[in-house]
Amino acid sequence: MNLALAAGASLAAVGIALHASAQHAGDISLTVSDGAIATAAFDGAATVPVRVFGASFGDTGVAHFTSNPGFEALPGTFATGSRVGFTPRAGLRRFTGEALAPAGEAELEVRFLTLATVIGAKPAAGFDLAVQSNGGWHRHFNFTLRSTGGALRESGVYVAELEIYSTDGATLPSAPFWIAFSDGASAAEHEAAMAWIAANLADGGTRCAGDLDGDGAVGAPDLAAALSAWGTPDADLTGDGDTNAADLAAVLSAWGACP
Amino acid sequence: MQQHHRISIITLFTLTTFAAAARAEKEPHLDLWITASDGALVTGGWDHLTGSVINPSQRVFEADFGIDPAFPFSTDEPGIGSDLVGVTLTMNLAPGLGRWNGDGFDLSSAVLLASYGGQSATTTAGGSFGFLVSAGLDLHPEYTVSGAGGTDPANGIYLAAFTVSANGLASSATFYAVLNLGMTELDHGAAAAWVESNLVPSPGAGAVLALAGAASRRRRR
Repeated sequence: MNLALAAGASLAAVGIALHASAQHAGDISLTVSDGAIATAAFDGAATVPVRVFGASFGDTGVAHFTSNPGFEALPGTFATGSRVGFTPRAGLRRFTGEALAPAGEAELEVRFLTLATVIGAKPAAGFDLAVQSNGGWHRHFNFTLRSTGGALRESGVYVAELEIYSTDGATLPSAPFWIAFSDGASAAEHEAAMAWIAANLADGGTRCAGDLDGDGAVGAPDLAAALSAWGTPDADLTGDGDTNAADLAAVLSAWGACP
Repeated sequence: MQQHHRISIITLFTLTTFAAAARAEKEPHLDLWITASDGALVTGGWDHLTGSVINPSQRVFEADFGIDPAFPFSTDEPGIGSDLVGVTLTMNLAPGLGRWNGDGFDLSSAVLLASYGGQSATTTAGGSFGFLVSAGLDLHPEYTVSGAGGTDPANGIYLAAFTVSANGLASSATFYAVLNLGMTELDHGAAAAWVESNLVPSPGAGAVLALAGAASRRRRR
């Protein structure tokens, strides 16, 4: 079930993990290494660095909902009295089969009791939760996929890009990591999405400003994507909530292969 | 009658002392483990960190409200694990919420809300919520206590009774959540020990209220 087994060497170096079968193996392990938070997964024998994780909506019988993956920091990892939280780094995206694209009308609600944020076309502020009295942090957020307009697509893989932070004032945030949520997609499509993320985003990253289709270069497809998203937030590169001339300029100024 | 009181006091003292010794260093509470044995659902105590079932017949589970100051009246513990992959389990919350009086549980006017995945149940009328057991299940329903009319609840140790059911299997025996709001761990341990001694084994969730009433009557004499 762990995709790392089937992936190539570059994927293994970055690490990807589907919700695994062992009891504790499904959580995203959080450690602090060299003063920064790191994400990892327990593979049944050891904790290995991982930045691409998988989860499936409906895994507990509730459509478009999952409380996985959870997060697990062992006792003593964080300072008692501090808080640990997440920050979305990008809008919700959908795997097209070849790359990631804006998720359109789909959005992801992340909730814990009364705290909630919605990752839509643009990233939103995250929130934090108290570290346990033993310095551990074991949390399961409630993830719900929903639509701002019509019905959700029949199936798909939706991707959230996050980082984890601590409020202790000393620990640096994690590197970006990705959760690929399958919403009725085939296992093959889910694994392909995770492999694509590992190869193109997590493993050094070839995405750059203007690379809307994530193919490692800024070119005609990106220009077309910007034009087709005109007046919507779907190809907003400048953060003003709209795709407009400023975004077109951003695409043109980045023309060519990503650095 | 005096002898009865004396025995009760000695028993409570013994339980309290035992609980205090066991809690000299606060230990994390165990999660709820659900499995099947001889055609019936059974509950146990599970350490999700190690994936180990520590107590295969546990029926009393402790948790604390307000571990996160942002949610003073809520908790997502105890969590739930299960090896019944592919089975849909239904958690049944019995009506009535008890509140520890030092010698038993009184029926409280407070209400417990238990929710998961858009489903919810309360102790006002009882109710249920369900979930499919997936591989590696580590489920954390949310529990929130509120006072009468939605006011802030009083500090106390609250007692809720549950069973779990599934198609094709006999329902579990009643198990209990002993939930601490702002009281000491010593009190929490004493309340849990009382439940362990007086309600386990029990004929059913109704025993909670019956015993709560009995405790109240005894206390008022």
